This record gives sequence, C-alpha cells and structure tokens, in this order.
Amino acid sequence: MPMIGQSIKRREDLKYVTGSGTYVDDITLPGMLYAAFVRSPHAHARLLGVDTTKALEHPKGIDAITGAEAYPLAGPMPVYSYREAAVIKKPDYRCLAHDRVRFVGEPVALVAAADRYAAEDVAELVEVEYEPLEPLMNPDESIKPDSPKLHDNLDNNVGLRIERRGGDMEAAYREADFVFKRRYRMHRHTGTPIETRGCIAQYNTGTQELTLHCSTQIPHILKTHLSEILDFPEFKIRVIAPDVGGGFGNKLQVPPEVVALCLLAIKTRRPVKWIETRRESLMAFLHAREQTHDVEIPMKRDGTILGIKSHEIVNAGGYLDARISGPSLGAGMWLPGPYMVKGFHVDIDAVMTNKCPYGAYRGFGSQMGALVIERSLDLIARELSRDPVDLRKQNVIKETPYKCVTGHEFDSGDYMAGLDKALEMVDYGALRAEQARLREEGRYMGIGVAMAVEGAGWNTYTAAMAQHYVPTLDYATVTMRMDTSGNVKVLIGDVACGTSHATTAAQVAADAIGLPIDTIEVVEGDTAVTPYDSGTRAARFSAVVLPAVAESGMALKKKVCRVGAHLLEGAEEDMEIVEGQVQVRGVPGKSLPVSRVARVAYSEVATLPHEIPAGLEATESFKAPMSGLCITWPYSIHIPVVEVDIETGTVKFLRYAIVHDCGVEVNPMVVEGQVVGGTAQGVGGTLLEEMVYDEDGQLLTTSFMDYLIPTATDMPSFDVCHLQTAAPQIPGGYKGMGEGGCVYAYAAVVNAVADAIEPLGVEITSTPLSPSRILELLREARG
Amino acid sequence: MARTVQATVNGRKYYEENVEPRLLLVHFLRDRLGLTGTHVGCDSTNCGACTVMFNGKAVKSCTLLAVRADGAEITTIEGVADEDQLHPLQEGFWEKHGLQCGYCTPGMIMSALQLLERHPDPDEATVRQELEGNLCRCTGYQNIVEAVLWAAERLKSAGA
Amino acid sequence: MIPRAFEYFDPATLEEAVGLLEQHGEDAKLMAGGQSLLPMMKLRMVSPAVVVDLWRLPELDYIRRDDGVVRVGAMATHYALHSSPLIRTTLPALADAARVVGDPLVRNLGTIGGSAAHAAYNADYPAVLVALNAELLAVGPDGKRSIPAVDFFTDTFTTCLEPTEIVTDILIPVPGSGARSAYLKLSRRGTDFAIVGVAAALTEGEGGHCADARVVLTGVGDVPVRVTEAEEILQAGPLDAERMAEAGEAAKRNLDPPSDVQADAQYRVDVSGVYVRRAVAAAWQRS
Repeated sequence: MPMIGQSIKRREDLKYVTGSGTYVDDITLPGMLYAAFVRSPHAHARLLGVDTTKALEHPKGIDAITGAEAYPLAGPMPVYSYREAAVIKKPDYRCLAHDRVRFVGEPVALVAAADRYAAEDVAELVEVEYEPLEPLMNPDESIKPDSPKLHDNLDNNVGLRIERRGGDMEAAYREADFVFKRRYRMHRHTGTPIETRGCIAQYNTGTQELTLHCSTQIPHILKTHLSEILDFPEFKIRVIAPDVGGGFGNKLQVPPEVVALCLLAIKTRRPVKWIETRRESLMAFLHAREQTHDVEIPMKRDGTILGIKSHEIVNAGGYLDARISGPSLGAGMWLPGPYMVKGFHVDIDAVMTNKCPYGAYRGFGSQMGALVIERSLDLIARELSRDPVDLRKQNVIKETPYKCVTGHEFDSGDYMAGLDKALEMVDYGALRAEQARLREEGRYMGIGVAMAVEGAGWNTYTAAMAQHYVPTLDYATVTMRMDTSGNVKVLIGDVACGTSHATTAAQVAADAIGLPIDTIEVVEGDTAVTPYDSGTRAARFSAVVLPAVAESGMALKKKVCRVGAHLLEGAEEDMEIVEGQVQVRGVPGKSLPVSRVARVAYSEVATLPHEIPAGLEATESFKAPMSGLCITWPYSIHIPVVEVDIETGTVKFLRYAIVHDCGVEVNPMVVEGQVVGGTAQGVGGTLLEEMVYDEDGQLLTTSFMDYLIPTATDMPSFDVCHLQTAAPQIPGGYKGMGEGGCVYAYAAVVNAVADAIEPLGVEITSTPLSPSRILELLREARG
Repeated sequence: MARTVQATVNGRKYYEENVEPRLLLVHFLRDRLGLTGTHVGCDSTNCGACTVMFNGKAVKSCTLLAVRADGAEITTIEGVADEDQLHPLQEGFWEKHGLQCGYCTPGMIMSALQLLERHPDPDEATVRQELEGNLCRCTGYQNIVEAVLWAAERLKSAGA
Repeated sequence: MIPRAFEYFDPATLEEAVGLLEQHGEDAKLMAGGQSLLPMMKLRMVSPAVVVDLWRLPELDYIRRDDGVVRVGAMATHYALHSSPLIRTTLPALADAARVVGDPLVRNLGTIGGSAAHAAYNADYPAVLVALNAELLAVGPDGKRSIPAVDFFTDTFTTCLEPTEIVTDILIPVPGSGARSAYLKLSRRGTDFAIVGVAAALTEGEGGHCADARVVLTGVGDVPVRVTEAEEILQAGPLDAERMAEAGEAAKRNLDPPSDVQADAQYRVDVSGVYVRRAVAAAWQRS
C-alpha cells in the first residue's frame, strides 16, 4: 500500500508526548555559562557609554561584551536584495548598538554569568548612559523629506523602494466608470512561537570550530551568514537546530543576538547559553504585518474590476531585517488576488521608524494583499448593491493556467469550483436568510468570504544571499544513507518546527525506495551531516524538498537493485523492491531481503563485481521550475460566520468553513493540522493580537498578559474540505501549504465582522478588530 | 538562606540541597532534577508550558517556589506513562494529531489530566474552558480538543 | 525571567508571621498563592527583600458556614471556592467570580485572601466582596480587627491594611430568603483581567419588585465602584427588562474609568451599562 496519501500518525510524536523532545534549553554543555542581554529602555537615544565594571565585580559575573567591543569583530547584519528592489539601503545594523539605539529592546551589551539566575542580576549591573532623542514612530511622518534621519549613512528614512507594474493600468483607468479608493491599515503583530529564541554558542580552541545549538528554521543559511559577519571560515562553523518549538517564519531571522553570543563564546572560551525571555521576545524578536495601502481600483459599473494600484507603506522599524523585501513584496504582489485584472501598479516604501525591526511571519505579507482586494470587493459590492459572492464570481479567474498581471502564472486549480464548494458547506443562501431573520431580532450575524491564491515556495532565496541580484531558483538536496541492516536515514538540511517532516518525508521515501516506513528515519537540522538547504520557509517543503526526497530515494533504490541484480543473477532493470524485498519482477520467489543486499554492499564487497561501488548511499537534488517568483500555487476559500455583540463589540464564531487545494496531499491529517493552525493564527491576528507602542516609543505589550494570543475558548471549530489538483510542474504533484490558513483568515474574518455591522453605517478599513475598536466605529456611525 | 528540598517526583525520591528561595519549581525540575520535559514559554503565568501536577493539582511550575516542594508529590510529563504504556491522553494527542512543534504538549497533557479527573465525561466547551491556561500556537486547539475527548472515551470504556 | 534574590520565611504560626512582618516592616511582602506576586517579582516590577510565605498555615484554608455567616479562610483557593457547594448555593456571585479568576491552573494555587490584599483595580473579588457586604478579618501586632470590604480597598493595589497585618478570614453574611446574586465579567480572553466586572446582589420583594440591590463594578476605578443611582432605579418599581436597562444607563453616569491597552475609558463606560444590565438580569433569573 503506498504511503503517500495516508494519514499515518506522526513518527516524531512519541518523544513529544513523553517529554523527551530536546529543545535548545534542554541541552547543557560542560562548563556552560548563561548569557543575558542589556537592552535599551529608549526608543531612540544616543549611546554615550556602556560600563560593565560593576557587572563584572559581581561574583558570578564572568564576562561581558559591549557594542564598541563588538563593532570591529562583527560586520553588519545582512540585507537581501530581490530583483524587484528598486532601492535597498543598508543601515549600519550591528549585533549590539554602538552609536545610537533605535528601538526599545535593542541589545546594547551581553553578559555571561555562572548560572541562569545570576545572568539577569549581572545584566542589571551594567551601566549605560543614554541621551534620549525624539522617536519617530509614524512612517507617514518619517517618510517625509524633511524628517530627521534615523541612520546617518542613509539619505532619508526610506530603506526599501519597490516599484512594480504589470498589464495596462492606463487602459484600466480609461475604461473605468469609477475609481474605488480607500486607505487600509493592518496593525503590527507577530508569530510568537511558544518557544522563544535560544542558542548555545561554543568555540573549541583545539579544532577552532564554532558550534551552535540554535532554535532556527535555517541552520545552513545561518552558518553562511555567521561566516560572513564574523569573517570566520564557513567549514569551521556547525549549526545544529534541535527540536524547534515553533517558528512561523520568525525564526528565519539571522538574530543579532546570536552573533553577539558567538563573540562572547569566542571570548570566554566556554559554551554560552542564551534563552530569550518572553519579554525580550515581544520587544526585540521580529515584528510583522504593519502596513498601510492607499488603493485605487478602476471599476466598471457592471462590476468588472479593471485594475489595482496601491502605494504601500511598510513600517520597517529601526533597522532593516534581512528579509524586509519579502513581506513588503508579498503584500504588493498579491493585490490582484485570484481575479482577472488588466492593470497592476504598486509602489512600496519600507520606512525606518523607532520600532522593532519588521520581518517574516507566516504568509510573508500576502495577508495584506488579500485583505486589500477582498475588503475592497465587499465594499464595492455594497456600493453596487451586489452580493459579494456574485461580484467575486464575475471577476474570478475561470481557467488555469492563467497569467496574472503581476507576472505570476497560476498553473492549476479551479477557483470557481472551490468557491462553490465553500458556499455549499455553509449553505450560503439559507445563511443569508438566517442573517436577515436574526437582524429583525436585533442580532448581527456576519458572513465573510475571502479567497486567494497563495504562492508557495519562493524562487528568491539564493539570489537574495548574493546581496545583489542574480537570476536564481530554489532547490533542495537530499541524501539517503542505507545502513548495513537495510535501514535508511534521510538527511535533509531543513528543520521541522512543528511541520511534520519526519513523517511526510519518510512517507515519500518509503514509496520511492519500496521499503516499509519503519525502516526509514529522517534526520534534519545539523549542518555537519545534512546537505545545504535554504531552510523551512515559504511553504517550500512539499513543493521542493519532497521531490528531492523522491529523487534521492529512487537513486538509492537503483543502487540497491544493482547489487540485488548481481545476487539474484537477474537484470538490473528487472529488479523491484516491494515491502523490503528485492525481487525480480514477475518471478515470485526470486527475492532477497534488502537487509541482505545491504550487508553484501558494505561487508562482502569482495563478492561484488569491481564496477559496483561499495556502500549504499545516494544524493540527489531537485531544482524548482523557473516559473517566476513562486513555485506552486495552492488556493483556498474561507467562509467564517460570526455574530457581533453590538453592545460590547465582541465577536463570536458560529462556524468557519475552509476549502483548500494544495495539490497532492502526502498526509491529509498533517495538511489539515497546518490549515487549521494557520487559520487560528490569522484569527488571533485579526481580533486579539497587537503590538502597541505609545507615542514615546515604549512598547506596552511586553507580556502574554497584554499581547493576547488566542486560548482554546477564543477559537472556533473549523470545517475543512480538501481539493487536490496536482501541481503540474512538481513531480508528485505537491504544492506548498503551510502558510495558507494564515493568509486568508484576515480578510475573511474582517469581512465577516464587516458584513455583520456595516449595515449600521460603519466601514472597516483597518485592524485589529478589538471590541473597543468595533464599539468606537459604531459610536462614530451613530454620530 | 538556601534550603533543602526533599520531594517525590514521578514516584521517585529526590533530595536537593542548596535550593535558593527564589528558585522556581520549573527550574528546580529542569536544571536540578534534569526533567526537561516541563517547558518555559513566558514570564507571566500565561502559557502553561510548565504545567505539572503538584500534590494532586495541576499548577504552573514557573509560578511556584521550589522551596514549597519540600515534602511534595509531583508528577511531570515524564511520569505520566505507566512504564512503556502510554497514558490514554498521550495516545490521544498522538492519534488525533494534537501537537505540531510539541513545545506546549507536556503542559497541555498535564492540564488535561486534571480536566479528566474533574470532568470524566466532558463536552467540547468544557475541554476548551479547562485548557484556557495553556497556550498553543500551532494547532488552533481543534485537534487538542479531539485528543482529550478521545482519551476521555478511552478512559471511560476502560473503567466500564 | 527570574525574581531578584530575597530572604524567605515560611512561618508555622500566624503569630510568627506577624512577628516577621513587625521585624521587617516595609521590606517584607506576604505571599499567599503567589499567582499575582510571583509574576510581578519575575518581571522585577516588585522586589521585596523579604518574602513571608503563608503556605504552612492550613488553618487559613477552609470554607464553612457558622450560623448566619459564611466564613472563608484567606488561603482558600479560587478552585475551592467555585467548586464548593456551600458557596455555589449560598453566594453564587462569589462562585461566579472564583470561576473566572485567571485560568484553571492559576485557580488551583491563587487564594481569595491574596487576591483581595493585592487589590488590583480590575480584579474580580473586590466588587463581589463589597456587593455581598463582606468583612475581612485581619490580624496584627495589636490583635484581630474586622474591616468592612467597602473600607478595605483604598486605592489600586492598596488596602487599609498596615504593613504588619495579615488578612486571615473573610466573613460574608448568609443572604436572606429571596436573595440572589451574580458576577459577570467582560474580558478580552477568558483568562484576562476584567475590562469591567459587575457584581449584583439583589433581594426579591413583593410583586416582582427588587427590595434591595447592591451593584458594584470592578475595572472602572481605583477601587470597587458602587452604582447607587442604578441601585435606586432597580428598587423603584417592578424589576423588568426596561428597568434593568435604565439602571444600566444610570450606572454609566459619573464613571471615570482608566484607559489601557485592552480598552479605553469610553469603552469601559459603554460596556459598564451593558454589563450592569446583564449582571442584574443574570442574578434576577436565579431563583
């Protein structure tokens, strides 16, 4: 029975349910010190002096490093260029602040102490002198030419400028009966994995090797960057990602803190552990999402969308994170959604302010694109007195492949069928009738519809790494190593952070080789033993890594068959492997266990012809198709149904239907887990979570008491319908899928709330939809 | 003044000297006893990743001083299975895909143990309410709820 | 995050505890369940030099009825309170409040005495204790004294207790026949502090009238806020939906609530009216 398509139980779970997982904080190395950061209490200040004397007088204060000391030892943090970037600047972003601090929580110094508890005491003793400066919190202000500059080496506060044009926008305006205009704002929030960042850095003087145990999604990429930043030979750096307690894109970061930790490990000649506190994490780990869009949509009176144009402003924070281009572009490029438009025009400015740097978080900006188009469609439908579903049906792409004005080729899928399925799930017609009935009772039910195509797998990474644009594509390399007993290790340079790789890769490998899944084990996360890989990002695992697993498995199978053919005295091409037996196709009884073949290949090599190589190992790569920015095109339709209590502004879910299509599903149970989990994050992001700064630049949400991530009672049950349209360009037909739920939920939930209360005269164009915000809108509507 | 703490953890006796009064139970378990299955996810008693059974009650071990564990009976995730036989809750989380990254899972299971003691036949709403002290960022809770209901069913039929 | 170091005492008697407070004065902080104090110490917002932990005083952990009074030990946990049949049947508003303090894990350790003495402006118990006419017993160097709840809370995070006094018991009169009560809380998530919480203690009179009403709000001022105008309206005629709504509107007048990250002052005012109405309705529906 093929493994692909089976909802088998996860192979990684036994350790997790018994408490035997190994996360970075579970690792203790001999002689290990504990580190704590000294962080800026100011949003913006000149750094006048950092004095570690008192800290080092503490009996447990072992060592420390300051920005001044680190400056010559570590170069600037990286910033990636994409082809699309018209301008990308490089603020002098260092691992520890050295001249100015530019956000609350920016690391200023790092201390090492004898134990975890002492580290916090010692850090408190570091004396830092600041001269506070006026903070710039609002990108609309700091973008102005006469605004004070946050970075002396830049000519203004615009860190990134992207201009994208597609189709014929002029024609769109020319043919328009009217132009729909709005300003939309999405608030700042982020992924907050329950495991914060953490790392142990260790320098071995004998081997001159730097070893990191680090909670990261990108061990290989981190190694490459550390080599550049520290001017340290790359082959002398080993990054080990142990079990990772959630990543959600946040852990794609190259953390300045890890760079500083390496310096301290080299300085102290002892392993140094840093485990981020939640407070630090909320202040200084990446933030995401905060954007505004000034949108124009030329429309025909009959409901035809002609084009979409936006000026997007991203609040980039005090420094540019390496991936600033991604979530900026992710929003802009997704503006047309799954709809037929003639013209597309987006100008993106990522603007420096005194907030935490802005980076990757599940969906990579595309939720903002989806929010803009889906919200606009609802508002336009209202203006035209049309049903919002009807307007979507008029404009949705009817056939794939479809060349979008953004340049993307949506290669497969039936969006209309997906929409119909979702409408059927909620019984849309009956639901509208129910809504009308409830409204007569003074109850406000809302039905939200949002649909989107998601780009899963981005062909950008290696180009970005080059720091100037070179043409590129994504790829993955996988090694399969069979041992002398016929068991296989699958070596992948990726990292699972809840993403079930140990199960799905084993399923694909089992089918590719023909072995029982129990004899296959997936090894990830250690750069010393796995092939180079760009990491767990952009939902690329199924789109790019699994095809590489299949290729590598088939290559290994070939090698096993070659040895088997010799032993069974058959032709190599007649060999097959079924359930762990090498056999001659069509000749029952003529077979050998793979374990026997393996033993011969390793231990009885002399019995094999000389031209058959010893051992059983294969390495193969899969290169993604050169299809533009993204590699696969899953899509989804979300229909949440909510009830808004117009007296308190609270939102209750009555149901939540999801239709999604991510191509061939290796493990539907895992797929559904990702879809539901991602949607939950989107729902939380829309209704509960917000990073709130006051006007002095102080972050007010520095604990989970104030930064509200959803609890079990805040979440509805989700109904999921799976469609499976194979990806035409990917062997196996898989599409990426880990981000989708989180992309569509924003627009869908906002539309649902709006659908409930907009008849009362309000209009929703910004998030979050907190109860107080909803009441404020209703109050304004009443006048 | 450092103290001595003698406690029974997962049925085994532990004796630790020099316990600083400020030592939190979670670090006592993790750093002193080596029981690293109990995790830390926040500073503010919100996430519940550190949940253990303490004298028969599920508590957040990050918000309890280790000195109070003197004489206590504690169960951590490492002590939930009966030798190699998983507890139905552990099986349920596995069976129903009630975990992804696994970081919140130990705390979630410890809370669910209490839940099933107090509500042997819970409905979905009860499960959700009783797990309010445990945050999960991966699953959206849906399969966690399924897992607990599955375990409740299993325990009921075992008891019947 | 880790608390700063402190000296720790866990006395075996109340006398000893009072003695330690006398000895250490303002440097000392009492710990009951620790569910408010420890998080603040971990965030280093509070760093007492001395912690006097009351966990070895089991005599403070009880719930019982003595004649016309329900007595609750200061160390009774939220869980013990909301699962107590006595509290549920006699003082439903108190059971309501105990069921929504923090989360189930916090409720296993957190205590009513600790929460009352912590006196957060948005905590659940203060409003209920005032509405139910509770008295708090405190012991200090000069012996015991009884403090009416309404006098106990003097400011946010501040009570009328001397630094050397310890809350030991909470006494609540058993309500007479026709009495009914409820506590209703609005928060962002179930586990959060109240944006507004309303305790309503009503007594049914003749002909569908409310003979006595005490309605007290939390989250809208430095101390529990009793809305007497609303109470008067509730008692002024047959208690129907319209009257409840009118009382809700009245409750909004003269409120001066704080703004914070979760809700601004205007929001708190708006929902105070709604929650007064709903809490009164919830109480009234209880027989």
